[in-house]
Amino acid sequence: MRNLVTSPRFRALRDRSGFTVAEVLAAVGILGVALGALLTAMGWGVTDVDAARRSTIALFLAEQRMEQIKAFAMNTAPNTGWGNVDAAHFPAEAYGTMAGYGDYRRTVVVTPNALIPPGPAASPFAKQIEVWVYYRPVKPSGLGPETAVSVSTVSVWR
Amino acid sequence: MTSSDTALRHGPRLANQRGIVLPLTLMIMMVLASLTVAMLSISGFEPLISQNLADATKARFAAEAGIDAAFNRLAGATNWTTLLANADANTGVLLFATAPMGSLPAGRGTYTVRLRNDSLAGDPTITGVTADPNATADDNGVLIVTSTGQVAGATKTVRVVMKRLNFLFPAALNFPGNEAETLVDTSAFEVDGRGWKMDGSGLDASCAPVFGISVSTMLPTTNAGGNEAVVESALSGNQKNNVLGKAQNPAQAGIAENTIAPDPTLTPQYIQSFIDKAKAVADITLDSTQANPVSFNNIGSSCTGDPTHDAADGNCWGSKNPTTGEINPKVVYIKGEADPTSMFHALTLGGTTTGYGILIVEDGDMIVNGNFGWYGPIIVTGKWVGIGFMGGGNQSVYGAVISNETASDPGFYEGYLNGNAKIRYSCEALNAALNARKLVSATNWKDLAPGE
Repeated sequence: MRNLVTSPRFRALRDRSGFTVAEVLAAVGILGVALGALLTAMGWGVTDVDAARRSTIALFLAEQRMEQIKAFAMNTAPNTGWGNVDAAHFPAEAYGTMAGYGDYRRTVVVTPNALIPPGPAASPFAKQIEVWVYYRPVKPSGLGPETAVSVSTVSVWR
Repeated sequence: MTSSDTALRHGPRLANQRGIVLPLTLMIMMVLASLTVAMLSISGFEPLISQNLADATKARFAAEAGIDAAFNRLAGATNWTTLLANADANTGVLLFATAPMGSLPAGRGTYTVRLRNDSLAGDPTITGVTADPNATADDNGVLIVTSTGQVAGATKTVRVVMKRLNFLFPAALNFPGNEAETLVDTSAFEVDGRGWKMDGSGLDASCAPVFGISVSTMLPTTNAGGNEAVVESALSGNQKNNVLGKAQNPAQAGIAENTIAPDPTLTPQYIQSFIDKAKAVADITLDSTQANPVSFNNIGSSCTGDPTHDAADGNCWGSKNPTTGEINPKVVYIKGEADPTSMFHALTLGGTTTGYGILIVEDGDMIVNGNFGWYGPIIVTGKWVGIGFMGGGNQSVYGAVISNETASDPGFYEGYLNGNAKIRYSCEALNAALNARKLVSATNWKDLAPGE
């Protein structure tokens, strides 16, 4: 068998070592820049996903309150019913007061004598109901300004 | 050749691997970039999905607002057929087009509502009742309402069945029970089955006349339809001329014996079914006992016409808004107790009484003193019952009166008229009363899929 160490082919292999260090340095540099950009982009994605999550939770909280109001309006127990659908019976809920949803606050706006067709004309049989849920979305730089989701309807006396 | 020789044979290829780290890095970077772009694409959709969900939810509440608006319109209409003019059997008529929710801007949601009669062959599966024969005439008090809510690009459609408690009155004064003993102590009374306007200003051409007085066709069981003769014999010749209405024999005038007739409409089951449904949703329910009979003076004097106020006022038995003319009817149910002596008055009214709606007295007499005006049906039913207009003031009923004796009590009156009592049949008053909001219901809710 031939001596591998002294063979021309082995010498060629030994010649590559210097280039590999340069390559690795270049690669690390490129990867570093690229990964930085990618991580930043992923941060945006995570922010988008979280914004959607918070928005959806806010929507569900608004929907929940509206359904509670509708059920209350149909209730016949004392101190309930459509006539008692007002701000006093559905007071504002501040941050930290809704169990499990401390990052949200919720308000109900009831407008009596709502406009209703035909006409439209103000009717004592109709109430305009709005439910607003407020929250602060997460931004890459921290919490963003307060934003809100609302649902609205018109309910009539039955 | 040895294995070492084989390895060395790849020598030139290894030498050509100079720079392999860089391409590998670029490849890894491209893979990572692809993954990131994919994740960004997916995450970018999340807010859109959330927004679509929000729009769809808002659109559903807008559609429900349309259903409520339709309910309000139907509860305020005295005749649903008038809303079906030119209605198509499949698509019905447009009730509201792109209406906003109250004073909110259209961007917060609008609704479009269509109304149709239940006249299609498949409608009984939706409504649970037999279909009407005609798309433009509501005979059974059932309509199908479709409301489409729209917010941004999202639409939601809800379909409900609107029902009103229907009841037919074959005469101004009805004795559908076992007996129809009547005493009339006046010649100034009036029982009129011609349709009157409820303000008393004249006859209502749109209201088909009914008999002046009706009795059962199948009761009493020993002499089916025999109560016609009982009523006719209770009236003198002049008094009979105060009974007007649809002619039993069309060839003759609708007066006296010719408008006192047996009619099969008011069967015991029909009356009981209506009473059971009406009392279940009564605005006012009072128990009257022989020890503590219910008696009121000046019912209605505290009404303001404001439905919110009047709804909570137990001494307001329905009202009419003096400004808008809108009627806020109530269902008033008085539950008495059976008294075989027939002396028990389950309800006594005096002073000046005014009411709008449905007044039901069960198991006991109803006695009316003083001034009295009622707009809608009065139903006195049960054992040992009767209704007495005792005089002492202006007494009128626009609507219809039923005195339904379910016991057998010869010698006790089912009807007593004195003074200037007027019982005038009025479609307008009856429809307004039967439109008491609690008698109108929205049932069988369904979210319709697109194209359904």
